[in-house]
Amino acid sequence: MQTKEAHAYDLFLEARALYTGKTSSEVRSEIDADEFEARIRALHYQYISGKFSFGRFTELAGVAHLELREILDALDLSTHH
Amino acid sequence: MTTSYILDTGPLSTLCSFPLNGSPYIYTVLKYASVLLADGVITEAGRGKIWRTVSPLINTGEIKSISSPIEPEILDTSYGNDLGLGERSTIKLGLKLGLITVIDDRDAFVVANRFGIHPIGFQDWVVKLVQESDLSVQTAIEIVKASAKQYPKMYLAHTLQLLSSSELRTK
Repeated sequence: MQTKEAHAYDLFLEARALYTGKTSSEVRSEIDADEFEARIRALHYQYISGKFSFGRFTELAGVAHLELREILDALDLSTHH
Repeated sequence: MTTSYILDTGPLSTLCSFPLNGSPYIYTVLKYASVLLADGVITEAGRGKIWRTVSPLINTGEIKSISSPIEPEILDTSYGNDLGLGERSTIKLGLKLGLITVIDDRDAFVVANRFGIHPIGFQDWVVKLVQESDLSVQTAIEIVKASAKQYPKMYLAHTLQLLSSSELRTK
């Protein structure tokens, strides 16, 4: 069975590909699963701490709004303060 | 004649992602409200899967896309690292047009107030559509409940109470 982290990474690959116009394989070669998770959790911590808005969060994560919500949901991370 | 509202990317994403009878509830809401989007919101929407829903509605004129002004530039210079492009663009358009602006993000909401526009959140907008535009209470409750997870839990009971009050007023 796929872990929630693996599911979140799959969602990220798809979302990032759509956001950048690259293929999922290209995105995968740019950022691996561990790097993705570390980055998204670090950004989420900053967001929850009030460092920036959700819109800015999407820019820093490099995925669109709805897709970021789905990724956070998969990781059981809150999408609001 | 429906009232026009400016939507930020957050509320737009909510409208485009949750189904009401099998289709995103933006199609239902557009019967009761005119939706305007700032160009920055269009840019953000174009980078995600909601574009599949938004793009045809722009092409048919059911959603209007409007360029936001450059001013006030301090929105970009002071808040460029804190707010997203769509949020800044929405605030600028709200200032320019003086229409009700729907913003969910807390920081963007506060900054909008600092510039003198008084946005409303998504759930309050749904209540407003019931009170002023004849959206049915039943549909509003369905929309609010389906999207409740995106908002602080404490809002839901209050929103449902507001909707119940609206129903009593219309009877």
